[in-house]
Amino acid sequence: MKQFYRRWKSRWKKFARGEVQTYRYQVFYQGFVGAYNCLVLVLFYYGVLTPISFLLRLGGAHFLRLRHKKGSYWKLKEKNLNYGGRD
Amino acid sequence: MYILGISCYYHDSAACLIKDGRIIAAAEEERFTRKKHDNNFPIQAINFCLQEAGITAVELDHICFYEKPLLKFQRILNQHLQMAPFSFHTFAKFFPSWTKKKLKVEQTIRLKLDYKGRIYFIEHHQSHAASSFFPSPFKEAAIVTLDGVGEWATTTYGVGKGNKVDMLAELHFPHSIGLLYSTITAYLGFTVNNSEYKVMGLAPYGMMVKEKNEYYHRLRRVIDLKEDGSFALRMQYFDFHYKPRMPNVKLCTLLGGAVRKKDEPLTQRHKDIAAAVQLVTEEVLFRILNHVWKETKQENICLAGGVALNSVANGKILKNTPFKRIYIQPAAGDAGNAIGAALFGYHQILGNKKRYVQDTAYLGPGFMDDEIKQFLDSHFVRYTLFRDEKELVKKTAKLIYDNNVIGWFQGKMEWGPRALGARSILSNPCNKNMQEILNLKVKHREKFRPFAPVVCEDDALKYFECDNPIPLPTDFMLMVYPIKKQYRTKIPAVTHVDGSGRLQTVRRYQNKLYYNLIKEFGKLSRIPILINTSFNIRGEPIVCTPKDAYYCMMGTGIDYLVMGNFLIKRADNFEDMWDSEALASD
Repeated sequence: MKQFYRRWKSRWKKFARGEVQTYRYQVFYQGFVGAYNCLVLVLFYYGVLTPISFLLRLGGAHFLRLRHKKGSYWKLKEKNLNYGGRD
Repeated sequence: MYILGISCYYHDSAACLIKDGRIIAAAEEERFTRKKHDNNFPIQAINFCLQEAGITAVELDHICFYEKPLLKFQRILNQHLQMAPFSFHTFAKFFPSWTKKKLKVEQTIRLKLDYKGRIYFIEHHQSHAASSFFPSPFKEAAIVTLDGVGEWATTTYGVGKGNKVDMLAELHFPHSIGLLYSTITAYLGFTVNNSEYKVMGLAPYGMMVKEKNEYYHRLRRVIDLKEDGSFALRMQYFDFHYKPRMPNVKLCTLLGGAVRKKDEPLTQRHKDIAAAVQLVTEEVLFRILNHVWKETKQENICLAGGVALNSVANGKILKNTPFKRIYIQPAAGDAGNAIGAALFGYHQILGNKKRYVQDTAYLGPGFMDDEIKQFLDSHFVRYTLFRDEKELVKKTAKLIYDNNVIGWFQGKMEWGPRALGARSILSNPCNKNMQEILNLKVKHREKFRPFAPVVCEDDALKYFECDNPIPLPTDFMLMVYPIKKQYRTKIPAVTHVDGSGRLQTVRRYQNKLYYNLIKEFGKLSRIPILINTSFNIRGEPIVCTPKDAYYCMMGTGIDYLVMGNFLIKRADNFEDMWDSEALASD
């Protein structure tokens, strides 16, 4: 976050000083793209992921298997022979 | 048949090329880009591998990638589903990199290499297992892999037989001994995924007796460890699954203070905490190994994963478990998965027999004398050329004996994080000030960190309390053994505070020149042991090319550089001198 802030601060300073003419376009264009990406990210996280998370957790889902138990924690390995696939 | 193995996008990107099951080239991307732990697509390492084989990407038969990106993405999404709405910070950090590059691995490979053949995706821990078993000298062995996290698995075990590895059971994220070690690394003010070995080096300064170390008992509260070695972390002490920081307030309270700042002095409490996490790691490892032995009844064990780089624990395995022989690949961490993926493809998927044993780590770029001479001449460097190898060895041994620090640049670069006599800094272990000289003048690193001794394999049992016969991982500097009491005062520069040394043994067939140098030094000093440390400045990758080596020497307190048959004296080239101290960082 700090890096992001610093990068944009230096870009904005360069822009404000009008050091490079073409930089103005870059600042506007990249600024819009960045803002759009941030908006999508926030909307997806708080608008989609968080409500789904609440609903699933209300239903008792546990994704990280945080429950402690007696005996052993070893899980039998499921065979995945789909070597050609990314999943 | 050519198979390319690729590992990238997490840390330590690397590539490896195998021809008919034999590794012909392997290198980490960081050595070419000069960016430590570079995680970008390893295009330069791939180009080197292809160049070494004299082929283009079109001639590759298969490409194997070291993990399954969709499975990993699923785990990360699940992680955020569990922790929403508190995990936005990590979500904002991880999501763009996944959508931009990590989920597009296949397209990237095809685009960058112009490759149209088959691409296989191997599970992370299967790549680890394959990277350890297939290059091992064993026909059958038990396999244990431990690291931070792969897709879901953090710890797995199984059996390797012939050309098959069969993983039997696993532990899932977030329960990971690697992540526990990294959390304590962060707590002690060191960099995660980089400085875990510093915690290992710091541990002997603390209380290494369980009963007397109160932090060991406190740390045992954060882990529910079963008799069979399976364990679960008590997540109320950790934040790594949803925040960018690893230890949380509860863990800080448990350990009696806040996270150490980088410039804060190391107190006895910090040292005891380092000792405690080392003790817990060893306890977990030995319980897992004993359980695996009961399950598999194998005599041989192959270890892989980042935790297998814990050389202190490795050195105790054969004494604390029923296993008789051990093998660990030189790059046991994620970089080694490039080898694992390629060998998994060759043996397990394509069904080819296992014949190859990886007994050296010299798989990187090498430079002929002509190329070195060209560099030296074009940069007007003053040097002495030795026509005779024996003369070079004699002169170098004498220089080391006279307490000079030598940069040793010979042959092909090492594969893995350790310098093993191809890109090394060598010096005299008998000089008690040498540790301080190296730490302050050359490496610019913390005073507590020890230096490693290197000894010829036939002399090792005389000076070190090693396992007999000496295991192959000792050649890759992956085992720590006690130095025999009567020699500890004779080689003070490599004797750690607990009397141990992270030993490298050299066999003549692996590196004749290096072997002869150690023997020659032994004739002068009566102790055939040298200090061997990696040829780099702190925070930089190990040198790769003659240019890297020359500039590293000129920026540090290295007195001489032996590069091929050329001897370069730093003082003769004073106009190129610079001070590297300002650059030294983690």
